[in-house]
Amino acid sequence: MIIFIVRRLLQTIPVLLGVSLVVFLMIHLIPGCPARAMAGEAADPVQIEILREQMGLNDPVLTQYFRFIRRIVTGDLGTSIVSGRPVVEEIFEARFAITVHLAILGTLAAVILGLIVGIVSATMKDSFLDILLMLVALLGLSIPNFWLAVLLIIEFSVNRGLLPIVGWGEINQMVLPTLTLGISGAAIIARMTRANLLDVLNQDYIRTARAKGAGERIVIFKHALRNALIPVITVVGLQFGALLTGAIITETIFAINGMGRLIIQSITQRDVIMVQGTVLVVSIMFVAVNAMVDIAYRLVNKRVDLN
Amino acid sequence: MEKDIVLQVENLQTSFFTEDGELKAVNDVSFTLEKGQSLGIVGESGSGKSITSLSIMRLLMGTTGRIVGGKIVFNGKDLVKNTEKQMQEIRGNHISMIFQEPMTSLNPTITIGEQIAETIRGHQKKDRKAAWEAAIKMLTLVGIPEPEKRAKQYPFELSGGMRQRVMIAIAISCQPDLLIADEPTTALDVTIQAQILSLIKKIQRKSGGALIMITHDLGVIAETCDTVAVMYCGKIVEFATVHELFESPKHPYTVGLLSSIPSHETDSDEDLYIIDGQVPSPYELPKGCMFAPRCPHSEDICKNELPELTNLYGSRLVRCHMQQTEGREFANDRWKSPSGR
Amino acid sequence: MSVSTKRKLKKIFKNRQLTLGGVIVILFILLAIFAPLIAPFDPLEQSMQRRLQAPSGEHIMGTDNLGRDVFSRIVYGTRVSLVVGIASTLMGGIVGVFFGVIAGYYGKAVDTVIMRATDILLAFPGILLALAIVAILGSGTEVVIIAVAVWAVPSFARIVRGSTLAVKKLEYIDAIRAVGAGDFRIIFLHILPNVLSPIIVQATLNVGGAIVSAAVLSFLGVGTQAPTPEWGSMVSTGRQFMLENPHLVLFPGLAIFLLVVGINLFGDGLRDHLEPKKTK
Repeated sequence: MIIFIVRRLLQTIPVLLGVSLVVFLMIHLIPGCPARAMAGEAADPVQIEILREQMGLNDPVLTQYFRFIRRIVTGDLGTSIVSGRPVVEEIFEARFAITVHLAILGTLAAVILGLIVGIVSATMKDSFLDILLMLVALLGLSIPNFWLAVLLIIEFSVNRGLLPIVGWGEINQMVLPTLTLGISGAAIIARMTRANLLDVLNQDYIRTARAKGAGERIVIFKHALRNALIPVITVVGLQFGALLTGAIITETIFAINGMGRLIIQSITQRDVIMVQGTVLVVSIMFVAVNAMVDIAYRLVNKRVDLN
Repeated sequence: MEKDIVLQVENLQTSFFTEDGELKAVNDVSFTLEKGQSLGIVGESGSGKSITSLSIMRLLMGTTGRIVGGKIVFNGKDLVKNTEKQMQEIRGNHISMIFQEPMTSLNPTITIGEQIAETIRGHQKKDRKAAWEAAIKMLTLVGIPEPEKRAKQYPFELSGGMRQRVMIAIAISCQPDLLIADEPTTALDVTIQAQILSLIKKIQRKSGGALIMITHDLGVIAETCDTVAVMYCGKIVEFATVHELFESPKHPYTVGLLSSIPSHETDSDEDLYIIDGQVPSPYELPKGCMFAPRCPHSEDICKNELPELTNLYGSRLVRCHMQQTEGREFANDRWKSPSGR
Repeated sequence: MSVSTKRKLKKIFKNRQLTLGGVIVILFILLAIFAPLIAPFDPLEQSMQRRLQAPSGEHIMGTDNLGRDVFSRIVYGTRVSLVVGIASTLMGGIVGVFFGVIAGYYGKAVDTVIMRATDILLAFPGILLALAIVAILGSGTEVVIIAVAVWAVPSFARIVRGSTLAVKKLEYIDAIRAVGAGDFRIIFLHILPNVLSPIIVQATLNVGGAIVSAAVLSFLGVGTQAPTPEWGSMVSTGRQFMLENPHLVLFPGLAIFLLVVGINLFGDGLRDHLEPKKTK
């Protein structure tokens, strides 16, 4: 098991290197150059040249890449072109925590809602409720979350005046963003749970459990659910990634000052260094979460140990 | 005498309802089983033998199958009329079952000790610790070495034979009156098969309970059973004591089955007999005798009229027109050379 | 024989998802093709006298802040969404299938390199990579197509690689090779046709995902730019007026939703039909 954990963690290194390479290349693929962007459109060529030299943009690309890696490792993601503040400071001061908080709440909402719907649907297969829930799940899967957010605002904030339209921090401010984020994930998890549970309920060991005289509750919660949920763990990990980007939309709509909103603001302000830093941080988080999910999967699924 | 009857199945009919219509998997099956007795049900796959056992356990949920007629009287009470709750009382407690696939019949995420203990806890007023100890006792009983250690292991850590022993331990953990073994050795290595069979037999003798052995292998029947029912296309075609059946098979299908057993005396080079043709599709059953299309003795009446299950003598039953009219013996050698050779 | 063909027909007919989804998708395609005939107004024509009108007999979905007819804009918006969805799926699909087949067929180092590259692309969650591309290339419909196409490449590559590996193991491929067929011929004539079903299913579902991603980019203001009628940007602009004029966000959002539901139903149905084993 420890060998597996170490190997899985080592596996992330090439991926992280690749991610850093892509992010590094961003700057070099941009038409024009960041030095011009920093100096402003009106800057004269001499000024730009000085900046280029300062930023090391005249060195060979490989040298620049190694320097970039060295900087990342020491926790330096550069300085924002717009605000002039270090990117790391901008991200980790408050925004990082807000986005993580939002993503965790969204994941929790997705898992809780998804499991309940999936289990109810599977145990009542082909009933009216099952068909209705699966229809709702299909709709939830297809609804664009920015539109869902707007609908939620119209219903709960505008029409009923129950919840605030913008902001983050108070519990009532968290409800709509969490729902916006959680619903598509809930739909996916509900469909997965139902399909897996139905699959597991057809397994021989479920028949064995029934042959022992186990009641329906024990059959489902003790024998079936445990096995049905193992594949769902992977989906939860993938969902977390979807939620990280879902946060971009949610934060923009609900005016929450997280990393997602920062990315969009930086893109519109053409603050490439900031975009670079934020994209890198979000991707590293995603890679880390996926590695943890894989490890959790192994821990829960004892069967794979043999292979 | 009456008291000794454990199970009496009367005119059992179980059907599956698919898009293409009703599929009569078990069609008018009757038999009785006394205490301490062991009955073999033999037939090819699709003959309805497994569905018969699942019907007795009322374990058809999750399928489209349903008992559509007949009675299953167990210890004087008709199981068909029981509620699911009442059946849960009986399953694992008074009637237990061992399944064919030991590799998939145990829950992969639960320790084997717990899988036995939960059965005990479900039916007896024992706390966790007492049930666990009872489970270990059961593992010892079925011949698993180091039971304390094994109890804490997961199914994937055990071999197929060991897992089947665990299945047996689960089945007998509440000393059932009736044990149903559905192809318990089919998925196992030949060397393990004999061990498992003798274990089942030993346990049944010791407990004095009744046993139903379901198999496609007449060799298994010979080793474990007193009486035997031969099933074909959902119907019993012959019923006899094991001795009678092997001595003088009355139904052409039984004769065919017997001829297809490899024996020690025959030369290994010699081809085994194979019954011509295939089991008819359950959707398009022949009008007359189900076996007529494959039967070398069939005559016009066989193709047009379904023969009744007729009592020849004692408990001996056979469903064949030829037997009714003439009472003739089908010579074994007639089967030795398949037609066309 | 007749029973089995009857059963097959019955199955297609009974696949209500496939039928319903197909009908929705076809309706939207017709809407896109015949937009000039269906739209009652010019989608770009502004009028200050008519601005922010509620739905009425003349403007069945009302007018926007610049007095443009919402219904006409939605009809024309179908074109943008379908073009982006289909074009990016084609681009991403072709590239992904190419790399997937190469990886699966040649194996070894080629496989390792390609699969590590997809790992890296997949390490950017959701639309993040698309956003990064937009940040580099600037906004606009063409950039959106490229950005969304890149996002689709790794999933196609993975699916095709897996199927190729399975097909490659079949004996007849060895037989063909023994006869002297070249790699190119084997890949195009024998492997690709055999991995077509998963590609078709993935492509269908990808169109839906691509349409949503494109709408998201436009909603965030970094996709298709004004004044081109695009559903995502219509919702975005409508948001400023939604307190008094909820129709400005309701209708364009509903259009995306309906089209995506249609595509997902169609894709799900298609999967049930083409790969029945996976669903059972």
